[in-house]
Amino acid sequence: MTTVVRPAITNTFEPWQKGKPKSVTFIVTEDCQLRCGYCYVVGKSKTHKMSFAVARATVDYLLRERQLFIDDSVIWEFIGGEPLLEIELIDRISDYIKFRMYEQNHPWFNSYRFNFTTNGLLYGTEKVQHYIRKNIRHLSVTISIDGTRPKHDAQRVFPNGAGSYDAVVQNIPLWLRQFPHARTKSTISHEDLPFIKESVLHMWELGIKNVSMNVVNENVWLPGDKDLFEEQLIQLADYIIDHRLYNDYSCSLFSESIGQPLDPDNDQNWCGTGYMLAVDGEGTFYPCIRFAPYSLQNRPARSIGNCFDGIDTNKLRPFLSLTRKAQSPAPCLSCEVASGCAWCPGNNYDNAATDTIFQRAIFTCQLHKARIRANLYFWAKLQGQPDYIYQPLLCEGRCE
Amino acid sequence: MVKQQAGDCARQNQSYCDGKIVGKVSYEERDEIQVLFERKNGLVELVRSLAEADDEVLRNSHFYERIVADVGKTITSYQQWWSENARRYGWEKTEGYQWEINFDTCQVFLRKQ
Amino acid sequence: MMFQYVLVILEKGAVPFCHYQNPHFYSTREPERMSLAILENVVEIARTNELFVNFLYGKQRLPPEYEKLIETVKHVKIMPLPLTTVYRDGIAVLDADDCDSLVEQDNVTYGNLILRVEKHNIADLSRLFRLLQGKCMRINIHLVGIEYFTESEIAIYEGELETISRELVKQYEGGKDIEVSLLSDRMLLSAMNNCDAGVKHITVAPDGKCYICPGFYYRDTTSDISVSLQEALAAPITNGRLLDIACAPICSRCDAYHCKRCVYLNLKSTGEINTPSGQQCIVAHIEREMSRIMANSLEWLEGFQELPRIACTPFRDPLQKVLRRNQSAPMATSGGRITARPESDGFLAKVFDTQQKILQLLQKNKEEKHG
Repeated sequence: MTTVVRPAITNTFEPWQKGKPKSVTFIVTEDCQLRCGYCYVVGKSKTHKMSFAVARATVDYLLRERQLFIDDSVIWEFIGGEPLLEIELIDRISDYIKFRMYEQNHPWFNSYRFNFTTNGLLYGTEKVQHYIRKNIRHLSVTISIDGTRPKHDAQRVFPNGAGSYDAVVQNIPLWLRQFPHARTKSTISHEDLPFIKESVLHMWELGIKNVSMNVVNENVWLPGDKDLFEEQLIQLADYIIDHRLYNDYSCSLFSESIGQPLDPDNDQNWCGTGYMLAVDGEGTFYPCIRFAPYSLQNRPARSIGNCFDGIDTNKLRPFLSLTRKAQSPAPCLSCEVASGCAWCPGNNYDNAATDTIFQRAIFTCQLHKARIRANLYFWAKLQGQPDYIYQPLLCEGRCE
Repeated sequence: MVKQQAGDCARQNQSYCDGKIVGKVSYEERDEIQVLFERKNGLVELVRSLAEADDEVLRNSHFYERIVADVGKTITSYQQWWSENARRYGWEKTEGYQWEINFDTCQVFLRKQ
Repeated sequence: MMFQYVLVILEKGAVPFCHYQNPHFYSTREPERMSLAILENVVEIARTNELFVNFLYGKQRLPPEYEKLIETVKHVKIMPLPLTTVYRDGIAVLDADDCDSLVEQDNVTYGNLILRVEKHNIADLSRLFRLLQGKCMRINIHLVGIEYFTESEIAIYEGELETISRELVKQYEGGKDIEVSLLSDRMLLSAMNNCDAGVKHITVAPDGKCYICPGFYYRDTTSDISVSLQEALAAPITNGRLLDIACAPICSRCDAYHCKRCVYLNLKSTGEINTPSGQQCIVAHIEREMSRIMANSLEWLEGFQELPRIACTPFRDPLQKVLRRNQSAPMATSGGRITARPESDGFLAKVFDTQQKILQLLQKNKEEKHG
């Protein structure tokens, strides 16, 4: 049997269990050591923390209501602020989750993950490492590093304005030893555009072979940004191809599947809001963390229940029925290059003209099109390389 | 400068460059071992947590006994799956190498330990 | 703006005539009426723009100057049933709680009657139908508080509808001509027949401000869409597209055509103007199913043979048509390679080693407990 290898650059990130698990996000704290410029958490607080009682009530509710939560798998996610500030709480919650899933013979015991996205500052501490060792086979940890020191420190700063690059990067080798296939999550805002190429290369140099990078959805973009974005991506494309890095490294900015018209019958929302569940320190449920009070600047929070009374299915209904067509403006529906164009319902809601999730913000439209132009250039040039074996995208679910 | 590293495969559901494919199982067989694999990992980590648990949990000795029995049963089933399928499909085996399965492709590899 | 008609609330205590509630209606204070000046302005605009007007009355007769002004524009009067003795052309609104006392006193028959039914009246619905059926040609039933209906209440409602539908079938077989909105309408419809508040009509409150419908006015007086009717006609409603069924993912896939798709109730129960509550959808589908069964029973009868077919559906909630698996999830890998391999003996030893420690701890606890 021969082995056909698709180059790493063609890798699109495939979530665990193909994105079908139930995702439960505990907002364990609103505190963070950093004050990142683009952070959607607009109301950081040292006092708003989750109690174990709230977490326990949430876990008990979710495990008890099996008819409501019929997914075969679960992702228990811990978020903040900075979640590792509350590692002891997280440890206690995780132990409780494991005990209860096992005690109740719940199917989730056979298919669960603990998920973190962290600024990485506390990654190497003994308490965090103890937790990792204890749960290593069920853990997914993403450290947010934005790229080179100038790019990272332009946004990811301490309250006194000092950059956090050095403090984070010292933990990267340990992280990669423990999670060899980890990917980082890097965010691009207006100020970061000139640093995209060098940042991707820098992260690859650090050993992070899979880089997820996305532009922020918020309205931070200025008229010349699309050209700068395209220019950076083309420079990166040239470097990748000229140095033959495409076999071993991946970056989410390059994707074969973007830039196509969408099937008119494709009416799905971009993300899983409504199918996920976020819970804050008070025990209030939200369809996603972006609808919690600390994430919103212009609109009131959108709760869908709480851990004591359960989910309010009527409040959840709009999120379950949120379709692409109902929220998108007419130009988006007829867009010839719509595939891969992302949106965030939380951001949409916060920027809508009324209190609705059915109004899609299109601040990143021009950047999406710039990305497509750069991708067209990249893939066309790549196919001309002698060692690049073109393989059509596999249909989902089919093993070759 | 970032250098190309030959033979290194970044993607989890990609056929491994540094392992030899010795077989492939059906989706159902894959599902069997995946559940056992996950359960085994879950039990191991549950035991780790139990070692640190407060007395209230430990006082429930039936809980503990159940876990111990479960660990044994799961690991036995897990080993059995490998033995039976290796025999059924005649997978190649070599001293110093072990089998691995890729859950996405259902392929079984022989990889150096 | 393509409005076809306008609802004018003549006073704060005007009769609630559909799904919303108006506590001011039950007040015994002097009516807080729309000023004559505002009414003149509204009537003038309606005439100029060829808008049909629905006037909502309170419990008391209007002053003569108001009555005279109202007659200068094409309109319909909607009022509490007792007031129809004064205004014979009025459409009567009746609360189910008042049915027995009012109907007994009244020897008049009505063409069109609006019946408001609350949760506590549900179990009585078929009796109310029998009480009213000789009194009017059409009963428009509006359920009040539907967003609070429980499963058991919905089951009771279904039973009552079944009883009414059997009696209706007998009436039709006997050549009688009576309509019950929740059952008869769907048999006749082949397309949506919704309220269309904010799309086909707009509401003017006593202070002259405009609202999507009276429910919005009574729920929150700051939810006005404009300060005057003139302005409402000139400028589109912010995010007004969400009032259109095309932007309602659940409703646009639904064929419970008789449902009023009350946007006020939508906002109140789900937080979105284009999303109905589960109770509303289920109730509408129960009504639809009853209509379907009725239509099947009557298909042999002349006049009913050409009715549009109502198909069987396997669900009660049209949200099922929209639901799909989520496409993406938070980034989570397996924590390593997704592989499994046979266990080595060393691993088992580690597991049992930990178990030994636990056993020792258990033993120690036991000794401490028993001294």
